[in-house]
Amino acid sequence: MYKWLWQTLWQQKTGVLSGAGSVAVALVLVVIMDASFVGESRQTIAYIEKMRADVWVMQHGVSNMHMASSYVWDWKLTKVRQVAGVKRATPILYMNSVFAAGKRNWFSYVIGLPEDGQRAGPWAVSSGKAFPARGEILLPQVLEKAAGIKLGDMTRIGDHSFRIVGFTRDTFSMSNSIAFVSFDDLQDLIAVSGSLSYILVDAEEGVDAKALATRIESEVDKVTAITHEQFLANDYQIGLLMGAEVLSIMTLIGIILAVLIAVFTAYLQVDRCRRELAILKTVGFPNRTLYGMMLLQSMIISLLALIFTLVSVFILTPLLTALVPMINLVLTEAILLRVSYIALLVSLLAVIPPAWMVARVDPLTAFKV
Amino acid sequence: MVSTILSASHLHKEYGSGNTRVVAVDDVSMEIATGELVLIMGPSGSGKTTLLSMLGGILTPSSGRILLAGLDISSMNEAQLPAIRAAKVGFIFQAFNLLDALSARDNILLPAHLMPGGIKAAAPRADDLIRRLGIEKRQHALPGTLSGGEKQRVAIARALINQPPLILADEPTGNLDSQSGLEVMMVLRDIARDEGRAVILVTHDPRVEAIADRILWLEDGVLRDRREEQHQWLNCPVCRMKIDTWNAKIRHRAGQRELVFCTEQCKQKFIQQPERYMPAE
Ligand SMILES: Nc1ncnc2c1ncn2[C@@H]1O[C@H](COP(=O)(O)OP(=O)(O)OP(=O)(O)O)[C@@H](O)[C@H]1O
Ligand SMILES: [Mg+2]
Repeated sequence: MYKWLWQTLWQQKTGVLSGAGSVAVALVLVVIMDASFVGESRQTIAYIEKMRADVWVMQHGVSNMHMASSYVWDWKLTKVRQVAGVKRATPILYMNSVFAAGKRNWFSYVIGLPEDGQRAGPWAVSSGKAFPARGEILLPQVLEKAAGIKLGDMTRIGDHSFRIVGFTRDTFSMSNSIAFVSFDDLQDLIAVSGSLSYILVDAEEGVDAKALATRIESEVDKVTAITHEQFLANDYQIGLLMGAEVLSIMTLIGIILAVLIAVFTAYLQVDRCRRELAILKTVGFPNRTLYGMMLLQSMIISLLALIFTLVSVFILTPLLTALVPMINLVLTEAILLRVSYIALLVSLLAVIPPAWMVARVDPLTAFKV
Repeated sequence: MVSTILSASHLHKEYGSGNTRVVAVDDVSMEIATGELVLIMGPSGSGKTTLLSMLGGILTPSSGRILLAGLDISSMNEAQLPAIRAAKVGFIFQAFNLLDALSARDNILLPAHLMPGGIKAAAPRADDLIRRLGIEKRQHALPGTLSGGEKQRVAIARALINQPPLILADEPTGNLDSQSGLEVMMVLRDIARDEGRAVILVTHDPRVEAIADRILWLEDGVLRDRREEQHQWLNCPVCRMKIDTWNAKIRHRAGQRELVFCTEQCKQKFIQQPERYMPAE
């Protein structure tokens, strides 16, 4: 009986493989969508993650960086430096904005770095300077190709012009890149003085970050101090929130597409075997056995589709990243697990219409010549 | 000892309803004993296939009762009938109906999956059938590569593998040349005579009449005494081809006489020029 199923599937392998292939296309879509979403979400926290400050100090009531603004009087920096357990405190000025490069604008974190602010500057530089002086800017290296810019070119943020003096790595995403300028330039740009945005605090050896954050909040007036882990989690949550709905709609569309293709494949498969099913019925095979066959068949097709998906994803991810540096694809175990569940769901849903067809196959068909 | 294996009483089957209502089988009763080879003959559309599929538990009668090996199969539902078909009935079809993906041997063993012991227990029986039917050399071939006669012998072996008491064959020789057809008929006769199974055979082949124990004549869904006088060979009035009057479907009434034709084309030719083709009395 199972032999019949194998051999029949084998005989009709072109149909089976193209069906599984089409389901795989839909599943690959889901995976790429997921992976680029995770990639984007990760990129929104790249700055916080790379800085790894033990405690972040910001305006009272602010608790994250993405899409936020924070202003703290600069005299509070001295206060923070005086708190016991603080080894180093590096201020940055920060703004969400867009810069012009090539023919379009790019969303960006603009980080203003003080003269001794290397601590808060870029972590990987691919070419040019590693630190901006007045009138200078460091941009993501991805834009070299994507926007067709090179060292020495000019770019604009608001009404200010900057000369591109360096390109940095791991600083690009579609929804926000990271640009580094000097503290003074950004101060001019925002038209504030005597303020900073965030203070990156490094604790002394053996000092507990959480306790230090609490101490800073109690000793420095009207600031919020958060540990690295907490700050990271807050921002990641916001990143997820922003894309979650779009993602779930895209995933749903992918699933529906996969189910439709799988149902159609199964339908063609049953249609091809209509007479054979009638014969099996006359021989005495009960419907439930035939349903079992259909389920097995559907699962085989989905399993094939899943294998195709995983293989193509592992080939496509590095390929896409190389070809289109603008997208950040991050494959996680969770994504792969999710697509496996989806494949299982697809195989279960895709078995319903064929089972209905099987039930309706009339054994009398076998008598027809 | 001869005993009744199948008994049908007042079987009635209608298809459709209202305008499309067709009475396919009407008040048919019969008893079949073990070891009997019974022929069902009758014109096309007379209800032979319908009757056969009711007797084999594929189709439920609109009314009437069928006792097969003491079980009332006419009152069984869709969930119960498959088991009856698997154990009690072997079907042989005109179109052979082998599964293309399986070898001859696997086709023969297919129904054994449904029996206790499965194909393991049935393997010696399959070997025996393969030998008896003379298909040893072809047992591992796929149906696509078998000749018509070989296919039908494989189908017969499949019908016999579960040792059912009743074999139903619907025009088993319809797709075979006359020599292969004759061989298949002989096999069926041996099955009835030597193994004591009841065989019900629907056929148009008049040669089989000689080996049958009994002939039932079905016409318009009703079992009748066969009208011997109708069984005669005539020539088509237009093209002179030989036709058997009691199979002929294409008829035309010309005055007092009813004429039969080989094809619709010949009938039309006749209607256009009756005086030219009208046969002598
Ligand atoms: N599923 C169906 N629905 C409606 N009418 C049917 C159906 N099956 C058969 N019939 C009708 O019932 C009658 C008997 O059909 P059946 O197939 O039993 O005849 P038969 O004697 O086997 O004919 P043949 O010698 O051509 O095979 C015919 O008039 C046929 O058109
Ligand atoms: Mg028929």
